[in-house]
Amino acid sequence: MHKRVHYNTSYLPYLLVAPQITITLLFFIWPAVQALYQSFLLEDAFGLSTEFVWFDNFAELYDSENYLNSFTRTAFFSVSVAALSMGFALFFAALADRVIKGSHTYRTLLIIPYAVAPVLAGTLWLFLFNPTLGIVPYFLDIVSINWNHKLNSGQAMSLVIIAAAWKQVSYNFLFFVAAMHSIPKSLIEAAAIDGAGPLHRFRTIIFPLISPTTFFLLVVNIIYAFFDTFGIIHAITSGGPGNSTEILVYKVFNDGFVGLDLGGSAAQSVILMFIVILLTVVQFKYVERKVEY
Amino acid sequence: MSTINMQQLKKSYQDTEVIHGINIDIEEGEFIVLVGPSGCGKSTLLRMVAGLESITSGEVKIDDKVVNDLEPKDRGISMVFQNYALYPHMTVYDNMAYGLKLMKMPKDEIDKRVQDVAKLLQIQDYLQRRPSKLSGGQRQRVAMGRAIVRDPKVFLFDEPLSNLDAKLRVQMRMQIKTLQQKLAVTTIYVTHDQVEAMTMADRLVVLNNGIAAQIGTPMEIYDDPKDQFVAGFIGSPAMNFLDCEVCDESIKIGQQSIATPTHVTQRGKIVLGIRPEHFNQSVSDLQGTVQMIEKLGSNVLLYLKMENSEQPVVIQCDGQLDAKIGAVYPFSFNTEKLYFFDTNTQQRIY
Repeated sequence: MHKRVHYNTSYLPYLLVAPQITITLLFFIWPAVQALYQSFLLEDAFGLSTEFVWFDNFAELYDSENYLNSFTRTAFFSVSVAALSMGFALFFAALADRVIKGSHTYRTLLIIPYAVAPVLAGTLWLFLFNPTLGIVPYFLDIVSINWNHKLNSGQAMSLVIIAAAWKQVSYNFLFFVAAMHSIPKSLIEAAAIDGAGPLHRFRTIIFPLISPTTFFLLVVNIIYAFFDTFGIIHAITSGGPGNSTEILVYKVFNDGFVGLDLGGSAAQSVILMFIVILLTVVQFKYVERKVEY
Repeated sequence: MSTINMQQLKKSYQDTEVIHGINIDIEEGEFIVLVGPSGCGKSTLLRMVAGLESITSGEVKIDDKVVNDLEPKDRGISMVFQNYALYPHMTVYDNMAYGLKLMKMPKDEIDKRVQDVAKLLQIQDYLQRRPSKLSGGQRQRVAMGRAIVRDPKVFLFDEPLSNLDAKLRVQMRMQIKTLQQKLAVTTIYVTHDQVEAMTMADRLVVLNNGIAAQIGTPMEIYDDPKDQFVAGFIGSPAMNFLDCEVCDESIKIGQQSIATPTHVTQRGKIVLGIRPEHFNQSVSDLQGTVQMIEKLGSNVLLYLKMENSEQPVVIQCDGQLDAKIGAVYPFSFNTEKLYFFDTNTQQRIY
């Protein structure tokens, strides 16, 4: 007795998964292996000869003050982006939850930034904050703040953080709104009868109950800030002034394709790869632990 | 202990009026049950008293004070929700203490109150557990505890037993009723279950399409229903309704007839109502074919088909009765217990 459905043709299942496997192999596994292999190589400046150097590239990174600085910078950048975008998203979601009329329009408008390509988002903010043309520096000048992110590294960092966070607000907003919707309405009503005002309700009921979503978004946002902000930084500051906005993923590009240190660049991307693997493991491990309703 | 008065209470959503002017005066310590089919507005009415729904027009007074514009927390009410609405991330203790903490009550006072109520409801052993680790009945009691611990003027219950299994429901029904009598807190209880309504209420409010069809004690409503809706809704199994024609000498039900009672003076088409428990089996001036038999143990329900009549007639008989489907069964009405309703207005005439 065979309980499972049987197909006579044994190649059919392979055929069906083939496209997915091909894409994964071609665009994910192969480049990853290439990067891993390249990270062990040292190439001369003209690209004529390569030498297998084992872990020399990694050792060099470990000793490079520049690289370690980029690490702290990236940590600061991603924590700031995550905090800023999640903070605003949470605020908007809490408000959207209370909106009754036109909530559809309100939500749609808030989601639009997510559809903007990173480079375009960067350019948008670049124009807004352009020291000579931009509207924001014009107003800042009135309150005696001299804005020039091309010279001031602190301002440059703030600008890329704002731009990167702005783009992620909509994504976070969607998740927060969904999470708030899944809280039974009677819980909020019970709290209202118990005497809790809107702020207190948010702090003691809503916020704890959406904590699984918050944690999920934290991981997603950090991964976003680590990897997907390349376009924004490239458009706004190109890592400058100095190296002040050169985060890890931008340094991979800079060292590899501008500085032509392919081996060192590959080693950096391998490190990034391990970071993202680590983050994903953390996410899978803890995101499953949900608050029991 | 408080009184509640509702005067010409109305509720509209946009242009649709769902509650059409309800007047109820509730006395101190009374247990009032709002009962009616789904969509009759009973929950809406309760939520208007709670302050969770706005009042379109009319007044709600608690202790002679208009509370229309007061926030729920300022009305001195406690509510038990259908899904209990326990805070899932807090222990039972914290669930009960949440409202007290907001009242800025001293810690030892909170502890004393929570412990006392926990003892009253026998949930002392679960105080440190989360709601998800409790059974349905235990959650129900915690929800009650959370309501009681605030020492409210009014209890509001929104179908609190509908998520429990039948046996537990009967137990909890009794518990709620005894507890209410002990605490003597004025209570409004919403249910669609007419057995729950009959057994618990001091007075019943039967709601139909946003109108209070009848207000009275359970027995008043059972014995003396005002219209066909109330008569059909209260009582289990439900009252039989038969279309008939009243002539001078006899009332014709299809091809069959019974003698016209002397107090029935109206002639023509009329609806006759008779409860399944009010049949007479010793005399037999009517008959019907047995369509279905429901054996309930203590008694048997017979579904009889009378010729020329669409509706089957349900008769409650003795548990030992031996009947066969398809057999002709003779019966007669207990003429003392007949109700008559107008065909058009559905109001009770006799």
